[in-house]
Amino acid sequence: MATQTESELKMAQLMVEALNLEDMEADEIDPEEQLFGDGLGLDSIDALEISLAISKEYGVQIKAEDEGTREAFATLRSLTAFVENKK
Amino acid sequence: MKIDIIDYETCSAAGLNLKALRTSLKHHNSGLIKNNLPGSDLDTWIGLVEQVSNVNDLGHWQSRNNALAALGYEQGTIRQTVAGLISKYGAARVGLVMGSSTSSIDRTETAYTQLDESGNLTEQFKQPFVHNPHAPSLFMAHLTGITGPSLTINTACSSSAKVFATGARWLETGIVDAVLVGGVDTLCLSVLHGFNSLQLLSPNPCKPFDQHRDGINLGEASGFAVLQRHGENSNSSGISLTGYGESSDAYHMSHPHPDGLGARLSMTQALERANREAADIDYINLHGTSSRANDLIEGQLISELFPGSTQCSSTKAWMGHTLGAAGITEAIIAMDTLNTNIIPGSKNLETLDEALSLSIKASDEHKVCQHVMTNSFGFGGNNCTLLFSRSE
Repeated sequence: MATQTESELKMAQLMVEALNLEDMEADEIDPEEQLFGDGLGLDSIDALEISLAISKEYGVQIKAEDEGTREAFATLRSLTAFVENKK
Repeated sequence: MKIDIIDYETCSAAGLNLKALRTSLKHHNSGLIKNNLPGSDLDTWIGLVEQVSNVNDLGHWQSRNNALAALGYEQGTIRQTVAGLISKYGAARVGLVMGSSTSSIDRTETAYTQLDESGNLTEQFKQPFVHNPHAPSLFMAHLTGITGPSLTINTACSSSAKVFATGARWLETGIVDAVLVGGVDTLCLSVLHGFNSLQLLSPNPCKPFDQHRDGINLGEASGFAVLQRHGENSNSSGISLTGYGESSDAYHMSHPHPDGLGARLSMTQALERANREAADIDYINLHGTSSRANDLIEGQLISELFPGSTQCSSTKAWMGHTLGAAGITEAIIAMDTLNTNIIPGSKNLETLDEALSLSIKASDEHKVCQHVMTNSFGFGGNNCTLLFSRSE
């Protein structure tokens, strides 16, 4: 799997905690794997949970209806980069 | 099938009782206010029933939900109607079906803010019948003296529409001679913040079906209706429940089926059960929450199923989305058109969503209706449609 940067690891930890991902360690999430559907298998409710956690931790608002939200949520890498840009 | 609606009452931000609601509807006076709930800084509008705060003598039954139920039950002649039926048939031959989504979670929320040093509930909050999904029916059974079958339905926003269908079935099987159906839900932080985390709340007064709608407003309400088999009570309202449809999307926890498959089922079932064509329906009170998703899907479905002669509106701009109480609140608005001969407009509608072409407008229509319908669609994809007709 691709190597996680430090901020990607932090984001992965936030996800694991927010979603109660029991079978997964934060450092096991491939930053280039699809988060939704066939990859990690997250769904739209998970997306809202992550958005809420990101909003609390980083003060960054992610609206489901905004353009760019879809791409942002593609992978751990894209999500981390998206939040970094908005901070 | 034919079930008579003997009596009905409603209590919401749009009116303490049916009489007050009729006035608000007529003058297009909304009961929505900017959110001022203590402990919440959410930028939204709410439909608060201020008088609930004065109902604080319920002892160990105390909760905001029970208080609003008690307040609603004091209105009009509902209490006397039920008392008369208990007298006539005996308490065990009267049934009770309540719908609610919060049940009394408002009280549980408060209880957690006042735990003792060991983290236990303090005395006044040790209320097993209140911190309970069945709380609304437990409380109403206590209040009314009804000892017949009792059920609390929680299917989110379709709860107090389904109560009519359940009540009708009980009457048809003959296990009871009358049924008190009702609904109650109150505003509390878990609900407000829950909807906020789903990104569904609007910072503006809601505009169902509008091109520029941007979310829902929440409200609280209680409502009641008394049902009997057709013809068994000469003192009836002149309105009958002639059809109902119930279905489940089996699609998503908080998003309706994109093609409205479940809603289509509940609407067509209601028509079939009433032996009616879509063209017979004069008015439909739509679920119309003002969410982007619901209104688009419901609006498109209506255009497919109903002709232009079927007038539609959502009345949620008057009192907000009252969740578990929305079913009965809007069933009452729909059935009351058979008494008032006024179809309320879809308040706050300015520009219809360009993807929609159903018969909907902001202004009222004066019309003598024969058959009306109401839709209530709940989270989890639960759908209920009711059809009311003049009893004749």
